[in-house]
Amino acid sequence: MDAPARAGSGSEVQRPFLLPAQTGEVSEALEDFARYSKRADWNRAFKSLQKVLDANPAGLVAGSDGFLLSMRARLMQLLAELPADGREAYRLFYDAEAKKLFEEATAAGVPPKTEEEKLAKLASSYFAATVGDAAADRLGELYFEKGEMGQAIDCWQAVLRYRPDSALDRAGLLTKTAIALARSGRWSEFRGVERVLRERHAGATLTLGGAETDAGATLAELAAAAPPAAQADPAATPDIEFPAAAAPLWQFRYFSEANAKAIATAGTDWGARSSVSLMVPPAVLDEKRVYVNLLGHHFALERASGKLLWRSAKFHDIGTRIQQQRYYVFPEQYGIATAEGRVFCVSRKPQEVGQHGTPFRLYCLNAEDGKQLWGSESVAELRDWSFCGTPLVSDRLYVCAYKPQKASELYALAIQPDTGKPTWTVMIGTHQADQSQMYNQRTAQPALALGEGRIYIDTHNGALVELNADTGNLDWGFLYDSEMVTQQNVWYGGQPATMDTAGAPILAGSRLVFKGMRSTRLYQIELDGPKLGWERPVSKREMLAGLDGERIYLSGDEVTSITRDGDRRLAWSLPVPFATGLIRPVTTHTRVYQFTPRGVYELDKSTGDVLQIFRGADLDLGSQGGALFIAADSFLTVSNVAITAYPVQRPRAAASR
Amino acid sequence: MRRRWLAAVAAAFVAVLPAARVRGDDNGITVSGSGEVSAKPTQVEFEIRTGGSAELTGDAIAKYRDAKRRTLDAFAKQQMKNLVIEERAIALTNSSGLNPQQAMFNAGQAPAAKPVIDISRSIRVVLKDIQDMPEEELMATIGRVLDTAKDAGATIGPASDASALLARMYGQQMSAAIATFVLDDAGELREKAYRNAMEQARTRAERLAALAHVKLGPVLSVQETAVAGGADTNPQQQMIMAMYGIRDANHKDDLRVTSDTFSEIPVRVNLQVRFGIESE
Repeated sequence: MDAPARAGSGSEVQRPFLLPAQTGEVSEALEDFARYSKRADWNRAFKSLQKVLDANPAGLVAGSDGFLLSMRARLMQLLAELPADGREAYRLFYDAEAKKLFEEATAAGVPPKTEEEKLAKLASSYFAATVGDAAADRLGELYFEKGEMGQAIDCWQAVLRYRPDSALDRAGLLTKTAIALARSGRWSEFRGVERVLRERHAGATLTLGGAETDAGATLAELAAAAPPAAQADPAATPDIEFPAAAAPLWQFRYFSEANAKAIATAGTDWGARSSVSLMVPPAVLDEKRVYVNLLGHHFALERASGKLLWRSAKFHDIGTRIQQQRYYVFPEQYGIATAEGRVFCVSRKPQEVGQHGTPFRLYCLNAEDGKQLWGSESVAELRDWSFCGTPLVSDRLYVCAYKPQKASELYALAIQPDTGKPTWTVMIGTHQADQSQMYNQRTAQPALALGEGRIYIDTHNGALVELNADTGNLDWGFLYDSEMVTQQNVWYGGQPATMDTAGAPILAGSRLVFKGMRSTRLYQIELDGPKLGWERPVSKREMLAGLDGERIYLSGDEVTSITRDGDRRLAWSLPVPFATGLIRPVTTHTRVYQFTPRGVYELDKSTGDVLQIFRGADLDLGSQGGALFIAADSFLTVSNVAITAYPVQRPRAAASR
Repeated sequence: MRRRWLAAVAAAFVAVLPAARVRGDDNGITVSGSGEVSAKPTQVEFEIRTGGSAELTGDAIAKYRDAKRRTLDAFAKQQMKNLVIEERAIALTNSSGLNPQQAMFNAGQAPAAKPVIDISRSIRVVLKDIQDMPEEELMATIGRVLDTAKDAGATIGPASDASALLARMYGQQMSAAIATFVLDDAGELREKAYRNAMEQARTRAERLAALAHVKLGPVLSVQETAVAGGADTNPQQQMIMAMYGIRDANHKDDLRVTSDTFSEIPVRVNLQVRFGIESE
């Protein structure tokens, strides 16, 4: 687990982030297995394989195109690729032991726990043995009965994917997989499996509860109960019409003008602008309120009126506090998320805003009144962690963190939202540059995206990983092209603040599109595999703003549109005013909106033409632009100085592109 | 006799030099004269740049083409009378891909970055016939021009090597004039300034001749020492240019009379005229 990971053949490339890789010995053994298998030298091949199995590996091993795969997946892949004589040889070596283990596991009177342990051993160590598929199938059923749908799905999918020789009923495996997918709410995957079953196994039957049932009919019933397909496509968001006048519905200014100026010019007395001068507080909305994390001061405003409903602390003296220690404020590390009446904040305490080395805590607040429900300081398992990036909330809270004494090691955690108790913790990898010593350069804050049963984490520092949302198991990692930040030659006054932008990966069906903060590449990964779909050079300062069926939209100091068809052509580009990297552009049905220091730009998605620039009520306050939120009845701008709400005149008529 | 004559000329030279910077020699009196005529600028000009940069040349071209089209379209939509757009130089450069701060602060040790192709076009936006425009209207019109350029994504101001270097050194933009006020047809004014300069020179020479008790003769030679408009350059830029031996790529060497401020622009002529001394 300690050897530095290297992508493909590019072992000489200096990587800003290393993924947890196998020890050199295990990796070598795996390579030997692949090499001897090619030569049909089965004796040596399986000796090497035994070394791998004995190591009980949990890390990643190098695949191709910059991917690192979980050892288990890689092993299954290699075994599935064995030729017929290799499979035969494998079974000569392992069948006896596997059969013995299988009989022990399935013997009458064996306690369920023992059965599960033995089957798990079989499925991981002897998967290619004659009984390997049956063991995985039975193990899947045990998990299903325990309600561990993710694990059950993995077992059945492993047989479907890596045991093409299996005599097990494929229709039955597909049906069980589909039912488990439906039970875990993974409807997109469910639809895919249901379609395969309908097209290739029409009329298949399945024994459920002792009765034979029509598999197709069972799945059709489940499909009828499924929610409509998720509208992840931003084209589904209606366009808005700006009001004729700049008069806002309401405006909430955080600071006095003097305070705002002190922050905006922090560091410019001598030297370059500091990162804190680019601060735009993270904010989220729900139906009733706007929640803001202003450098650790949490507050809520009423959506309709802008009235301050609650706040965790007064923020009149932020300007003074940050002046002295501006290098260590890290405004980009503050995060906020909300779900089901709770607000989750990644923050330092207000009085510790610029204190070097002070951890960022995770707080859960009651959305109604702002009262703290729990904080990571008071949860024993979270006390030692410093959190980073914006949390992602579904039935669990997913967030990244590190331990201050080992700040370069990045972990992902799944936490129970109501108690703060972690469900799992997994190490993602290691930053090569200490993120707490960036001297005004934007630190890499991981961005999370939730797929069906999977979490995707872009470290924004040269690596992206997929985790099993149920277990935290690292499925695979991808090392991408990213600039290595220098920490040498740091000048008095700090490095000049860099206006890098960072967006979250976007899932589009079975594809994942992403762009790292310091990367000059836009990537699409085909998740069935996984494999690299394509990569394309783009400007480093751009972030992924959105995509639809035809185009990908990037935003930063210019907004660009790239076609998604074969040649991935730059369809159009438009330079826009740009004063902070903490922006939140919005793409809608036919428009791209970006809140800039010169107003909110409304661009035509098909041509990039500027349709309108809405110059709102915060331009005269020294707004640097920032985040834009579009709701049904209003739109909000969140800048370095104020949150302002404006009425939406009426949604534009949905025009076809 | 010869020594007495030389002493007399020398005495005359010493007497008049402080007042009128006159140089007498053995066969004449040299004086300088200056003429100045002022007039309101007739047009205001803005240097703007559009373009794009990208790792792929095809992208850089697409960005450049888009940026130029949007800028020109934006001005066309304004339908401003007396507005003239002059497309000027196009520049293609291959840059390091590092931001200016990285390039400056980590010279030689910055991490490798992918080089990018920059394509940029200078465009001069000229607002003509402003001399009779009320100041309020002129300011509003200038505001429209600047906003149009900025909103279209164009960069305002000349691509000065010196200001770019300053920006790199300090990580921020240095102040620089963005509008140039121009006296477009200064020929007549310059003629008048010449006449005034010559008249002043003659007056001075006559005064000196009278003081020296000699009779002023014909003009023997005329030399123009300088012709200055109101062109300004940022002092910081001048300093940097001097220190680093940079020549400003946008040096105003077109001999037009220009100023960075909106005020009457002086047309100055300095002449050095040598008159003969006629023997009594």
